[in-house]
Amino acid sequence: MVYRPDGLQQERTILAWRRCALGFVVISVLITRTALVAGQPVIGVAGLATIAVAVLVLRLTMRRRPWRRPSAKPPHGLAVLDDGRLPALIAGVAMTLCCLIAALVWLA
Amino acid sequence: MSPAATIAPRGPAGRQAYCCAMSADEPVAGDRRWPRSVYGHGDEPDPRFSLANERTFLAWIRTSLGLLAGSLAVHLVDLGRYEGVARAGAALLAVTGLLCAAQAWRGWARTERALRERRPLPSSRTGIVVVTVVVLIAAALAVLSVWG
Repeated sequence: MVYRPDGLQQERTILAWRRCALGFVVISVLITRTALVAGQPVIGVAGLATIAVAVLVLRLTMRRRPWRRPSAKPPHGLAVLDDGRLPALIAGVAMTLCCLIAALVWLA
Repeated sequence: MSPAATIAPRGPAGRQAYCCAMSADEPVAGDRRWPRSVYGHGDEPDPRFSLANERTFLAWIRTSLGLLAGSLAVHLVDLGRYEGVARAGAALLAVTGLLCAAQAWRGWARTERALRERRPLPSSRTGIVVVTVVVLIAAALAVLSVWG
């Protein structure tokens, strides 16, 4: 049996992950800076933690490469996603950021 | 191999070609993928559909991040005596971002399950809520920054 690459689908998906991870890094840096400037150290520290998670996600997506040539062996890792754990983590981090920013804009 | 030959045939044979050793019509033994509410039902869809579902999930997450950037921007707008409006608008944008992130996860799980069960895809009303909130806040800021 020959395993065939599915055109540019994987590449588009991997790039979408990278855009998202970069967005996370930017927003985490923004919230940390805004919180520290506004004198909200607790939210600032939480922002630093989200920067760490964002960098982790970025590293995870940078390791993935789409496979391009038909091969006789099953390719390793069709895409970034293996199951529902990563989307759950990402949605959880995004929701945490939302709560931090809601608290920040309301308190500052 | 010609370029046309890299396109797999449709139907179970095509799915077989994409999905490694998985049979399209039999559940995979020992499948422990989480969440079971998604992977415990139906059979493996065409991976291209799963990848498209993944990108839709990421698009909702980016919408959420965009609303958060908007929230921080509105927070910095100086509306003078209407400062409370800017504060409420910024908080409302952050809450809408929360809604988008929740929809990202819910939509991903519901769509993936529908794909596995070969059912029509689910719809959601989150989009219209987001558009309404953004339009209302933009209108309020425009009015107050001109006449406020």
